[in-house]
Amino acid sequence: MSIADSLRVAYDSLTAHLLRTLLAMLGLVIGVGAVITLLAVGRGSQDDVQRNIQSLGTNLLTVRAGAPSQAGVRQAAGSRPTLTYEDAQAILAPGAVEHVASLTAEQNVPVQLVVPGGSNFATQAIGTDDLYPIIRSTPLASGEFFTDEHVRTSAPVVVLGANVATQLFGTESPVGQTVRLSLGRAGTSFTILGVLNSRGGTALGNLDDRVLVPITTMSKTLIRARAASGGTFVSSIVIQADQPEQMPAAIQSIGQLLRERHKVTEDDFQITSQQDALDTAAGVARTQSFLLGSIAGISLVVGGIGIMNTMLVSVTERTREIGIRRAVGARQRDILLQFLVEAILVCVVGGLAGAGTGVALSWLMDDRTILGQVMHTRLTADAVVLSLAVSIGIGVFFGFYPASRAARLRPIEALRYE
Amino acid sequence: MSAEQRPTIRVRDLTKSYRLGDETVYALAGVSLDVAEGEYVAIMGASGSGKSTLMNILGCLDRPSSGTYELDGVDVASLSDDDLSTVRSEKIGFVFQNYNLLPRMRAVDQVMVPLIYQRATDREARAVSALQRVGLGQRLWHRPTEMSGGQQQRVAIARALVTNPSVLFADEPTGNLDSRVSEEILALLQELNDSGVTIMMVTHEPDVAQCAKRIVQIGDGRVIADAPVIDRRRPHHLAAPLPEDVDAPSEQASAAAQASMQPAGGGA
Repeated sequence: MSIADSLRVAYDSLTAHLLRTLLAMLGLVIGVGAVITLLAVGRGSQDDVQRNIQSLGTNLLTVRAGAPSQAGVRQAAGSRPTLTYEDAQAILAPGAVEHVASLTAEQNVPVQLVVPGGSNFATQAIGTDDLYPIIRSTPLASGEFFTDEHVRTSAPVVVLGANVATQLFGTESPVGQTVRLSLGRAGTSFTILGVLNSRGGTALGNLDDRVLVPITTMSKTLIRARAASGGTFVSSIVIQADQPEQMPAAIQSIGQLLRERHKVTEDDFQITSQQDALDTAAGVARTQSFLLGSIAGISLVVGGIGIMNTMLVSVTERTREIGIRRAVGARQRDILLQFLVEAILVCVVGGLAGAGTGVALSWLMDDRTILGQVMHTRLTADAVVLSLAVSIGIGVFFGFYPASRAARLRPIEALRYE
Repeated sequence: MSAEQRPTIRVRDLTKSYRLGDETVYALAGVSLDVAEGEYVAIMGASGSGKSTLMNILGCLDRPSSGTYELDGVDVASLSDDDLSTVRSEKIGFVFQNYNLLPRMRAVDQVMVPLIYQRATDREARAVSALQRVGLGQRLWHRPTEMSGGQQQRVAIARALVTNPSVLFADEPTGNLDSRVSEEILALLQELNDSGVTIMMVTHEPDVAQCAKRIVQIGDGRVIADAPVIDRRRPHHLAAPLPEDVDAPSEQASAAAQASMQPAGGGA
C-alpha cells in the first residue's frame, strides 16, 4: 500500500466521522495555538524588559549602601560607614576616579503630597541632584529641573511625575504652584518647578508616580538625620562611565575610593552594572517564556492523548474493516501504515489550524492594552515550526499504539467481530 | 482435471487444536484432501464439525497446528504472517455470507481494494471489468447502502475475482439471501466455474451443495464422505444472460423463479 493510497483511505475515514475528527483535532488546535501565542507573549515581554533596561543606558554603574554591621563586630560610634552624598561628590571630583563621566545620587522616602485646599497623594519622593535628568534620561514635559544652585542652597523645589501632576492638578498646569510634602510630622511647602514626561513603568518602577526634590532639601526638611560624618545619606549613587568597556576598571577604582573613605577593609556597599541587571532580567524573561511554553506544552500532550483515545475507538469500531482488508491481502504493515497515517493526518491538520490560531492571536494581542499593560508579542518562525514538528511527533507517538493494535489483530477474529 | 499432475490444493493430515483449560480440543483431527484446478467443491457439515476451521486454514486466514498444506505447489502451512498475506492477495478470493463489503465505499472502490495491496496500476479498469463480469456494469458507483443483498454479494464476488485467484472460497455465499437471489448467485458461481475458476464453497444447505461437482462432508474434524455429485443441479436461469441492469430483469426473473422453485425445493 503506497502512502498516497493510505492518505486517501485516511481522508475517507476521517471525513466519514467528521465531528469526531474535529473534536479530536480541537485539543491539538488549542495546544499548538497556546504554545505559539504564549511563546510570542513571552518573547514580547523579554523584548520589553531589554528595551526598558537599555533605555536606561548600558554604561551605568550603581553603588548601593550595604550592610551596616562588620562581620558581626560592632563598630565604634561615629565610625559606622554609610553611603553619603559626599561620597558621590568625592567620586566625581576631578582626577579621583578614571572613566567616570557623570553621576547622581538618590534617596527614596515615602511622602504625603498635599495641595493647600485641594487633593492629596501618597508616593515616594526621590532626593537627587541636578544631574539626574541626564543620567536617567528623563526629559521634562513642562517647566524645568532643579539646578546645581537649588541643590547647594537646599531650595524647597519639586519636580512632579506625570501621573502625580494629573492626580493633584488635573489639566491645570502645576508649574509655579506650591505643594506640601510631609513625612510624619516633618514637612514643608515646595514650589513646583516642572513636570516629567510620562514614560510608563520601567524595571525601576513607575517614575510617573514619583516626585523629585533636591537631595539636600530632603535631608534637611524630611529625613532630619545626618550621617556621623555630617554628610547626607543616599541609598544609591548612579555613575555613568565614559566607555562601557571601561566599567570593570571603574568598578575597581570606585570600590577602592569608597573603602578608603569609609575606612573599612570589607565592602559596606555593592556596585552593580546595568549589564548585570540586563542579564538578570533577560534570564528571568527566558525562564518566564520557558514556563509559559511548558504550560502550553502540557495542553499539547493532553491533545495527543485525545487523539490516541479517538484512534483506539476508531480501531475497535473498524475491527471488521481491518479483518476484511487483511482477508483480501493487506499485510500487518499496511494496516499499521493506514492508521498511523490517519493519526498523523489529524495532527498535521490540527497543528496547522493551531498554528493559524496562534499566529492570529499573537497579531491580535500585539500593541493592545490588556489589564492595564501594553502587550507586545513577537512571533518567531522557530516557534511555529517547532509546534508543527511537535504535533507530527504527537501523531506518530500517540498514533503508533492504536495502529499497532490494529495491525496485530488476527484476521479471522477481526472478521468475526460484530 | 485429469491432465493436472499437481492439485491446486493438497492437504495432508491437517489438524487444528485449541487448549481449553487442561484439555486439548481438536477442531480438525487430521484432514487430507486434494482439489484439482477447475473443481467446484462443496464442503458440508453440521455447525461445530470443523468446516469453518478448515475453510479458514485453506483460505490462509489461519494456520494449522500440524499437517501440510500445499497451495499451487507452495507449502503455506509454515509461512509467516506477511507471506500468508501475500498468498491471500495473489492466490485466494473470499466471498462471505454477510458480503463483508467496506462501509460507505462505491462498488468500483470496493473491488479495487485487493489491487491496492498488490500495488497494481490499472486498478480501475480491472475493477470495472470484474464488476461487468458479475453483471454489475450499471452499478459501478453505488454504495452498499444503495444496493440489494444480491447486488452486494455480486460486488463481493467481483472483489474476490479481480486478482484472478487460484481458488475462490465462498463461505455460505447464499446464507443471507432469499431463494430467488440465491439462485442468481449460484448461477453466477456456476458460470465462473465453467470459465475455469476453482471454487470451494462451505454450505449447510444440501440444495446449494447439489450445484457443486463434488461434496466433501466434514464431521468431528474429519472427512467423513467425499464423492462427486452424480445428480448435479443446474441453478435456474443459467441459460438466460446475466442481467446487466438487475432491477428490471429481476422482476421477470422473480416470477420465473417462483414458478420453477417448487420442484427443486421439493427434490432437496
